[in-house]
Amino acid sequence: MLTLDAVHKNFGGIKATRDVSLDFPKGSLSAIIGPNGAGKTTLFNLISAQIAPSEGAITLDGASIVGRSRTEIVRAGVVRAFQVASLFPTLTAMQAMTAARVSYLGKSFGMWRPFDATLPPERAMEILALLDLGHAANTQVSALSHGDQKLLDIGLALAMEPRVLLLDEPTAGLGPQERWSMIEQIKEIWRALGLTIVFIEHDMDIVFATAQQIHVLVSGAVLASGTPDQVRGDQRVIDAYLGTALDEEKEAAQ
Amino acid sequence: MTRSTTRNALIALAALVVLLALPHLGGGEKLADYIIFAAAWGLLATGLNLLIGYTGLISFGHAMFFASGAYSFGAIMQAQIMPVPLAIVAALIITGAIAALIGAICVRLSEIYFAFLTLAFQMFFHSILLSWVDVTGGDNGLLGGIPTPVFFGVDLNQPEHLYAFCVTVTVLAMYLMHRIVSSPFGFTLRMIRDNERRAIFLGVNVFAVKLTCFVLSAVFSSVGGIILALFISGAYPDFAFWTTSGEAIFMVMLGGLTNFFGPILGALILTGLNDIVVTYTDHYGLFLGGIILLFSLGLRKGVLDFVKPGGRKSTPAQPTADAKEATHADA
Amino acid sequence: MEPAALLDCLTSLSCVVTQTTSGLIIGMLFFLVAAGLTLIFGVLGIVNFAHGAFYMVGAYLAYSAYQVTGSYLVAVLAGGFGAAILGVLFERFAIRRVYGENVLLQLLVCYGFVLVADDLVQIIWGSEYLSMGMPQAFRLPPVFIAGGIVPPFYIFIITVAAVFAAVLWFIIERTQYGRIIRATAVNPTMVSALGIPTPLIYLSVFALGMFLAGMAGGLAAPIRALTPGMGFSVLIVSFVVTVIGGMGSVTGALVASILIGLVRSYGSIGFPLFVDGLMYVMMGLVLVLKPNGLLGRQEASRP
Repeated sequence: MLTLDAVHKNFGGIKATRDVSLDFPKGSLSAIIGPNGAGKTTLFNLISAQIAPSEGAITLDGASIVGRSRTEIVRAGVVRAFQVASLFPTLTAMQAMTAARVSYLGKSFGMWRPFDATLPPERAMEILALLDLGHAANTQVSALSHGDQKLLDIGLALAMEPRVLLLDEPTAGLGPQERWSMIEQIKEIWRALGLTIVFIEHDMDIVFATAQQIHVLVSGAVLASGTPDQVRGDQRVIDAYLGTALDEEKEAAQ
Repeated sequence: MTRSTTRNALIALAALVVLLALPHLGGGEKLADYIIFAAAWGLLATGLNLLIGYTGLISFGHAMFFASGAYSFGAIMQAQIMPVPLAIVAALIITGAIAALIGAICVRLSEIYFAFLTLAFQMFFHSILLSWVDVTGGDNGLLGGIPTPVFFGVDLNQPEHLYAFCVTVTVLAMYLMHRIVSSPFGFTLRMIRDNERRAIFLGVNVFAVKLTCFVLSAVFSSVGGIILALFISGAYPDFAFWTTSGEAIFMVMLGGLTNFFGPILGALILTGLNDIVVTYTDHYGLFLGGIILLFSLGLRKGVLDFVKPGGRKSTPAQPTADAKEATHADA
Repeated sequence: MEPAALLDCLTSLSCVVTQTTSGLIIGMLFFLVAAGLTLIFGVLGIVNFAHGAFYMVGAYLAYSAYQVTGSYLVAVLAGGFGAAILGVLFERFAIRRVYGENVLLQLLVCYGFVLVADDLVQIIWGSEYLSMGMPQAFRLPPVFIAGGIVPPFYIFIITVAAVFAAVLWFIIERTQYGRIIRATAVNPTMVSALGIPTPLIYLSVFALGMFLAGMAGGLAAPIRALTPGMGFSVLIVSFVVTVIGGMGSVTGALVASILIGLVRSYGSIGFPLFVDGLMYVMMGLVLVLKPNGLLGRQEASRP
C-alpha cells in the first residue's frame, strides 16, 4: 500500500535518512523502532510531506506522492498523529472533531449554516466513542487529561478517514498502565477500521507484543525488517541496538 | 433554520428596534451622532477582529480598507453615476479587490512580518491618497461633500434618515459577521489560530482560508468607512493613517478579542472617552498613549475577556508551541 | 513618470555622481536606524515599533543642544546619548514586561509610547517645522566630482555612518560582547545558564539600538525638517530595509539600506510620484523570491 524506495534525506551535510526502502502492506500493523536520533520522526515527516526527500520514491498504491503538498497527502488518505498531542486548545473535543470532519467533507468555506448544525454529529461521536472519549466530548481540549489529549490527537486523524495512519510514539509520556491501554485502543481501531497503521515506539515489550512487522532504524538507515521473531533473533539488531542502546532507552523511558 | 439562528436573528432585530428608538427616548441628536460614530469604528474593529481574534493574524493596516470604503464610496457619489445602495456595493467590491491583492502577498507570512507588511501597504495607500489629487483631493480629502440623492424614499440628508440607515447597515453587518464566526468557516479560522500546522495536517487549505478571511475582514471594515463618510459627508487621508489602525487594534484589545462583541464595546468606550477628552485638552495622543501603556502593561485583558465564562487563555492569537518540537524531535 | 529623465541622468556622469551621493546619504542614515531595529529583533526577538520615535527624539535633542552650545558634535552626541538613556528607561519599565508575550501586546506598548512621545515633543518643541540649519563648519563651497555637485556635509555624513557601520561590525564579530550577543540571539537560555545576565544584555542591545537611532536623528537634523511624528516614515523605511536585508542581519541591513537609498534617489528622477511605490515593489519582490531577505536566516513564512 505505502512504499518507500531508496529514500534519502540530507540536512546540509547530515544524512538523516539513508537509502530507506520499506513496504507497508494494506491492513498491516507495523512498528518502527530505533534509538533516539535514528530518524524515525524524520521518516514520518518525509511521508507526510512536512519535508521533501533528497532522493528516492514514496508511493501510495503505486502512485508517487513525492512533491504533493501536506494537505494533498492527507486527502489521499495518509494521515498522521503527533508525538506531542497537537490540538486546538480553545475548542471542545467535539468541536475539534467536528472542525476536522468539516475539513474532511470539504465544507471549510461554509459561512451561512451554524457550525453545530452543519453535519450530522454521528461520525464524530462514533470516533470519540471508539476512543472511549465520549465522556469528554464537551470538555475544552486544554482541560483534557494528558492521555485523553493523545487519544483525541488520534481521533482528529481518524476524522479524516485515513487509509494509512502514522502514529508517532502514541505511548510517549504515559504511565506503564496507560501505555498498554493506549496500545489496546490502537489495536481496536486497527481491527475496527481495517487501517494500515505504522507506529513509532520505544517500549520493546509493546512493540514485540503488538506489531506484525518491525522495522529497525539506526542512524537513518534500515538495519533490519521482519516479524517480531525475525527481528528478535537478528544478531545485528542485538549488537547494534538491543545490546547497547536498549539500556539507555529503558532508562530514558523511566 | 435552527433554533439558535432564529434566536440570533430575533436578537439582531430587537437590537435594531432599540437602537432606532434610542434617540427618541431622550438621547436626542447628540446620542445619535455618538452611536453613528461608534458604529463606524465598531465595524472597523469588529471586522479587524475576524483576523486578530479569530484567525490570529494581526493586521496593522486595516485603516487602508476603512479609507478605501470611504473614498471609493465618496468618489462614486461625487461622480453621480449610481444611487447610494449600488455605490456601497461598488465600494465594497473595490475594497475586496484591493484586499485580495494585498492579502495574497501578506497572509503567507508569519505574524510579525504580516503586521508590518500590512502597515507598510497602508502607508503606501496613504501616500497614494495624498498624491492622487485628481480623485482623492490630496491633503484636503474629498471636498465639497458627498451628495446623497434620495433612494427608495430614503433621504440621507435628513439626520433621522441617516441615523436609521447607518444603524440598520451596522446591525446587518454585525449579524452577518456573527453568522460567519459561528459557521464552519468561523471554526476553521479558530483551528488555524490555535494550531495552524495541525490544521494543515487535517487537510485545511490554510492559505485560501486566510485569504478569504482577510478579504471579508477588509470588506466589513470598509462598511465602517462608508458610514463615517456618510456621516461627515467627506473622506480624509487620516482615515488611512496608521494611527487609525492603531486605535482600531486598541479597541479590539480594550473590549476583548475573545468575545464577538468585545471590539464594538471597545469602540463605544474609546469614542466616548475621545468625546470627553477633546473638550478638555488638545493632547489626545498623550492621553490615549497613556491609557494604552497602562492597559498593555497593567490590565492586559479586555473588558469582555473577563466576563467570558470558561478560562480561555488570554492570548488566543498564539498558536500552541508543540508544532516545531514535533518536527525536529527525532530528526 | 519620466523614464526619459532617468535615462538622461544615467548617461550624464555629473548627474550619476550627484544622485549616487544623495542615494548614499539617504541609505546610510537609514542604515543607522535599521541596524538597531534588526539587531534588537535578532537578539530580543521583538520588533521595536517605537524605533522611529527615538530617531525623532534624537533629532530634537540635537536641535536644542545645537541652539544652546552651537556645537554640532555636542548636538549629535546629545541626540545619541539622550535617545539611549530614554531607551534604557523604556526597556526597563515597559518593553521588559512584554518579552515573550504575544506580538499584539508588544505592538500596543510601542504604539502607546509613540503616541506619548509625539505629543510630548509637540508640547516641548511645538508643532511647527523646525530647522537646525547647516553648522558653521560645513558651510563650505560644494565639491565638484566629475561635474557632479557634492556638498561637503554629505561626504561627512556618509563617512561617519560608514565608520559606525565598521565599528558595529567589529563589535559584533570581533569582541567578547559581540560573541555574547550572537549567542543570546541563538540560545538565551544557554547564555543565561553560563552565568551571563541576559537582562543586562537585552538592555545594552536596546540602548545601543536607540543610540544609533538617536544619533542618526541628530546627524540628519541639519538636512531634515523636524516635526512631531517625523519618526514614523523613518520606521517604515527601516522596516522595509530590514525585510529586504533579512531580519536580524546587520550586513543585510547595510546592503539593503544602500539599495533603498539609491532606488529612492534615482527613482525621484524617473518616477517622482512613485518613489515609495518602487520601494514597496522591491520589498514585494524580495518577499516572493527570497522570503528570508537577501542575507537573513529568520523565516518570514510559517512552517
